This record gives sequence, C-alpha cells and structure tokens, in this order.
Amino acid sequence: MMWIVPLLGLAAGILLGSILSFQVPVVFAKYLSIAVLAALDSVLGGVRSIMEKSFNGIILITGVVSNALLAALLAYIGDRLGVDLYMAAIFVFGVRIFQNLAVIRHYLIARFMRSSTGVDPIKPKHIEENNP
Amino acid sequence: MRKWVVPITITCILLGFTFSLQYQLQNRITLASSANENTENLISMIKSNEAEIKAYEDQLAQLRQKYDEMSAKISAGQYEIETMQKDLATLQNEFGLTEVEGAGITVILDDNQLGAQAANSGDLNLYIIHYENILSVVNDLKQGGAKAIAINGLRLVTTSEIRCVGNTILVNTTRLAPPYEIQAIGNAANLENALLSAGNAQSYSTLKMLNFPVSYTTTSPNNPSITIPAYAGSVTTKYLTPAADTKE
Repeated sequence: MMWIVPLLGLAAGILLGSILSFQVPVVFAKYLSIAVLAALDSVLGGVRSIMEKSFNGIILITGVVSNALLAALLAYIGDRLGVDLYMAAIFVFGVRIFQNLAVIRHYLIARFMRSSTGVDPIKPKHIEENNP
Repeated sequence: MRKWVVPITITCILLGFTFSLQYQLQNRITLASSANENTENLISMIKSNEAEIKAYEDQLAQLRQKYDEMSAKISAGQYEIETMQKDLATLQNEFGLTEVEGAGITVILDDNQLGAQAANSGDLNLYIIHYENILSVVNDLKQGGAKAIAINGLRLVTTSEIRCVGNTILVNTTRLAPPYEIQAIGNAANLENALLSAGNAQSYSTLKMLNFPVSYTTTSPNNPSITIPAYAGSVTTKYLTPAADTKE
C-alpha cells in the first residue's frame, strides 16, 4: 500500500502546479518539456530499481536534478548554436522511458505468474543496467 | 516506511509539478497560436474585403466615367438641338415664317379715281393700278435691299406670286383691293432711293408723274419701325428632294 504515497505526491505536484499562478514564459516551453521527461524517466527508473532491489535514494534524486539540468543545458547550447540538441535529450529520455517500462512490465508479469502459478519465469536481464 | 518511498514521492511531486506547468504552458501556446490564426483570418478577410471594395470602386469609377460620357453626349445633343433650333429659327426668319419689324418703307399705290372721273370716258385701264405696277415696285424695293416685303399684309415669300386674274390682283392666291400698301424692311434710304430712281413705265415715279395718288413713308426717329406679318400660307416641299451631295 506504500504505492499510494508516490501517487498522492504526483497528485499534489499537479495540484501545486495548477494552483500556483506562476506563468512560465513561452520561451521556456522546450526546457520545461525536457524537465517533464527527465522527471518521468527518473520515476520509472526508480520504480525499476525497486523491482531490481537496487534502489538508492541519493542516486535517484541526484539523477533527477543532474539529468534535468544537463538536458536543459544541452537544449540551451543547441538554441545558441541553432541545432535542435534538445531533440537528443527527448530522444534519449523517450528511449529510456520505454526501456524502463518494459523492464517494469516484465517484473510485474513475473511476479504475477509466480504468485498465481508458482512458476518462475525468466528474469528480464537482457536490458542493460543504465539507470541512475 | 520503506526507504524508497520518500525519494520516489519527491520525484513524483516534481513530475506532477513540471507536468502541470508544461500542460498549462502548452495550452497557452495553443491558445496564442489559435488567436494568431484568428488574427490571420481577420487579416485575410480584411484583405479580401479591401480587394472587393477596390473592385467596387473600380466599377463605380467606370460607371461614373460612362455617366460622364453619356452626359457629355447628352449635352452635345442638346447643343446640337439648340444649334438646329437656331438654324431653324434663322431659316424660318429668312423664309418669312416669322413676323418681323424694323426700319423700312411703306408705299401706297391707289387707282387714279380722280383722273378717271375727269376723263369721264376712254380707257379706264389707264387709271387703275395694275399688277405690273406692284411687281415693279416690289422689284425696285428688292433691288434696294428689302429683306422682307408684304403687300396689304400678305408676306412675300419665295413661292409668292403677284398676278392678275380678270380685274383683281392676287398675291399669295389672295385677292387684293386698292389701295395697295407695300411694306418693305431694309435700309430706308436705299429703299427710297431705289423706289424713286426706277424709271420704267410701271414704276412708282411714272405713276406719280401720271398723277396717281401714290405715296410713301419711310421710317424715321418718330416712327422707328414697321411690322411685317409672317407668311400665313402653307409651305410644301412635295417635289423638293435635297440632292445627296448637298446634304448638310
């Protein structure tokens, strides 16, 4: 039942963002979108590490911050240079989000099958460990 | 509490927060772009309206031009009509269809009744005014530059005749009775001179010499003008066809 707490946190974040009468300038739309992706990636990466029982809170938090900052910096440099480098960040985050989702799915299926049939399926080790 | 709960929750809050902000931002961008689209629609609408207005203005200008041309034509037509009316008036005046007045002379010829009574017998023809006398006087007056001539109020025109039928004189197919009053408009002195200087057998001077009761009066400052009536008869052009090359 501990899963409720992060979900509540998500809802609280959304609520906070809606309540705050803080309007982000339109020029930051790119950076914000990268931040969203970085946060999503980190959440999924965290969930995956929990599944893999290799969770580390420090790594997760620093990963969120550094990923977001790095991506924003990349996007900024790209803007300066006239190259859409933020696309690269989006691409990388997107790929990782899907990978993490796939791993999480595998673990969930494995857990479900173990609990329902008792058969231990093959552990998803084929996806390389690159989480923060 | 498991160790992962707090970091994951923090990350989730961050995710929710950024997600919400980005969602709003994107909404604003969409709104702005749709507003932009509306603006562009309005601009294109205005442009097309302006083009339409321009087309209508062009049409209006064309119509105005046409109107101007037509009114110019109309005024030209009116001018033509006026010119033609003037011409017509001139022609009527020249032909004798209008009453005219001006300086001139009035000649009165009458039969020599006193002479006839004195003679008591003989040829009465010697004592009456014949149409030749009238014709002669008219010719003399014409020679003196008469512009309009009337005999007993009958205007002489191009078709007028002066002739004798039996013992009456006809002018404009109207019978005349003595005394004969011949009016002529023109230079009074010239008319008088022409009248008096003619010396043929039928002329005024001869009649005067034969003691016919003839007289004349010219216009003077006291009696500045005489009036000659218009020709009252009909003008037919039945056999008159203008030759093609003399048209206009």
